[in-house]
Amino acid sequence: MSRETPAAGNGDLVAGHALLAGFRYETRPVVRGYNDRVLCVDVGTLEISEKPVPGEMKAKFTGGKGYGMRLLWDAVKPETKWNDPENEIVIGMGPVCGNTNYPGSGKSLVVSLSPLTGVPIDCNVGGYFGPYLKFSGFDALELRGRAKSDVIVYISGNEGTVQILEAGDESQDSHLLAENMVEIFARDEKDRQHVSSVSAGSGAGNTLIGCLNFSFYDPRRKVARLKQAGRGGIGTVFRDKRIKAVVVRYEGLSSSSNNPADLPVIQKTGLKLHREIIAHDDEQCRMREIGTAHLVEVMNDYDLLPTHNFKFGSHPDAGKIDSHHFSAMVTHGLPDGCWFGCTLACAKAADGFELTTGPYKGSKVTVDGPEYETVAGCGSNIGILDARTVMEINFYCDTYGIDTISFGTLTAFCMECWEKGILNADRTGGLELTWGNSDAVLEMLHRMGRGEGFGLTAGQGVRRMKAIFAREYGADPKLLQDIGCECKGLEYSQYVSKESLAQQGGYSMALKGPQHDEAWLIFMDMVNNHIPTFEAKAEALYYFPMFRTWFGLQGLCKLPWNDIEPADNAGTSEPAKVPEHVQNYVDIFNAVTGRSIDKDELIRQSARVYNFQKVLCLRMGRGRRADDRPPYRMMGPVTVEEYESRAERYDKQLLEQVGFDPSGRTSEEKLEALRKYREDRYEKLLDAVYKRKGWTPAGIPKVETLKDLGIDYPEVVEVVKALGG
Amino acid sequence: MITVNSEPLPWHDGMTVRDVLTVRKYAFPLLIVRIDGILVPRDSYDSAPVPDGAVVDVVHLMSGG
Repeated sequence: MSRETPAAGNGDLVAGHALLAGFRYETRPVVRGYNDRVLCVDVGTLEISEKPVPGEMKAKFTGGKGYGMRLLWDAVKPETKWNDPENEIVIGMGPVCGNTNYPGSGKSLVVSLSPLTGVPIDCNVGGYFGPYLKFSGFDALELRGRAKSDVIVYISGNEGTVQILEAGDESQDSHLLAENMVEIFARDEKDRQHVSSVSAGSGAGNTLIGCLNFSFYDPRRKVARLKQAGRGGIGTVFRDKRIKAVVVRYEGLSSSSNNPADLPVIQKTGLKLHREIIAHDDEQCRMREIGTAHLVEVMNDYDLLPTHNFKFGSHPDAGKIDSHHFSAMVTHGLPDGCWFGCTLACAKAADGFELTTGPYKGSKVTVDGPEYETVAGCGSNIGILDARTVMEINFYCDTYGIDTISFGTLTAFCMECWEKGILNADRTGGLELTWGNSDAVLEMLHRMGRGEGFGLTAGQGVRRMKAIFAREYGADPKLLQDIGCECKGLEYSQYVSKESLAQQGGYSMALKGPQHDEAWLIFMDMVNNHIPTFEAKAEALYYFPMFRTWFGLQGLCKLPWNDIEPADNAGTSEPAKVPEHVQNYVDIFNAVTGRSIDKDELIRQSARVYNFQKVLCLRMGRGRRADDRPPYRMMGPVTVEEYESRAERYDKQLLEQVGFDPSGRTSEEKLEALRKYREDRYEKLLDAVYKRKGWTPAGIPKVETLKDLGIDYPEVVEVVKALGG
Repeated sequence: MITVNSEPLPWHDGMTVRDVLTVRKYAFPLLIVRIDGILVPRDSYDSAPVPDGAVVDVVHLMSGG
């Protein structure tokens, strides 16, 4: 370890940041996608070090999220809380990460103990930070400890130095802070694209729903744009550690920076997908035009767009927030990939957007997004049917470091509590949280940013609000449980799962909480009727979570897998899996690493990490069967109003499937009969899925399952044995 | 009467795949349509006839992250 003056770009600006610790390491090229070392930074003790990745860890955990889970296990104890210094934020990349030849190859995977759930949360995020860190020499970064005052961690990837600097008086809010980091650490205008930062805004420190912003400098717009590691409150952990920003500077990216074993195969495979995207995207998902927001009108048509706290699946005015309104707001014709070489280019941005509220009122800003989840969560689910307002909420959530999904779902919960008289103006500090009241929503968001009043209460998330409202306002705990859309402590993402049993399981059995990235089975189950039996649903709930986990091991984005399809996909035996793309991934992994896996080993790579993560949840005291049960709002109608909105469907189900004749019955009687039926079916689904995964009926992985996967380490076996696994 | 994704749908003379998609509000762009097991090319949905009694499978793929 050596102490020295900061090795940064703009000496005058850096001079204001005292050097607290420095570290020098040997720079060396990546070999077949790996560096085989990890960077460890303790902002509390100011220790910076590197450590090798053992061969066993590389073989069993692959990279990215796998490394994150292994490192987190080793860092924490069963009693560790999210705000203990030993809780880590691990940013892992994976062997394919940083490839510029195949679309969607620039993801970072962030892992930490979540303030909302107490178990590991994992997020994938674009932006340049992860790939630059990888080419700076590390497969993962462990951040631990808690600084005495705000610090900036700076990694100079070409020089081989890491520094902990005292933070200055930069704004905490990410749209300004990311710009400041570029200004400070870039050597000149041309160098700006070589600098990427991770930050969390002011709201991340005032709530438990903080997200991280990963930047990527857009030289055409001349602005540092932001992508979010959104779920589970990792931004809150970041601010609790008093980290203001982590910055990397790396120059020298090339198409062979990964030093792959077989570059021509990667180039050929990438070229095939580039051509596919150019030929078919306009007629398929329009990702290059508007990104995932194309789903808004689709979900509304299929009765899946969450409306008024997931009561309903469509809104008569949903057309006011459909993708065409956002397409009209974003700037077209500019390269919009969040990493180089992504032809799908779905990271859309509105430029010159004039803010009408809050501390930046009157400013014209670039707003990244919105994604589908943001439109649904901060639009229809809270009754806001105005695209401009959704865009403004999107901007402020991002710059404050607040997860738009949790913000939308918890706001919807508050609004229903207002509707039911649980909340009122006295209790919210004057915020009239009625459906669609955009002024009140934006003011609540600004209070989160400032750390004031009801913003602090709401920022605790749905689970904690339920306890507060029951304890302090005498609200009925059962009702709150039914309408509070969280599971394990994490707010649901934005799809109505009432009519799809498989998706209820996909959400509620997801290890980190109800995020759709483990499994999205609504069409397959509810629309296609392709998985009618419990066994078929269980098979889908085995395959898709395992397959989708794999992206997180590699540093890959899922969208180029399933938001574009080859022309001949329809003629394949399993079109839902997009077999050609699965083979692409097998080929790319092998071409990068020089290994020789097939599509079955791909699933086993994921299964190892998935089961290890499950045991880590159990080690932290969660992850039992009771933790996998959803609130009833996500399973069926809670209220008469909801029942009657789909009475024909529910009456038919009662008559044909339940054996309960609804004629002459009150809605309350029908609600009760339907609920009993659906809850019973959910328990049967749990049994089937646990069995398929090799777990006990209590949801504990069996020792034989761990042995089969080669992760029967003593400390892992000890956890499951104690629980009957 | 025809069957669409395991559910009955009234048939009418001259019915096309596009009619089925419209009636069922199947607006999602990533669809695969089979009539009695035979794949219907996407560019012929407007004209492909659906015979009475047909079993129509409209497979919706996945989308989003």
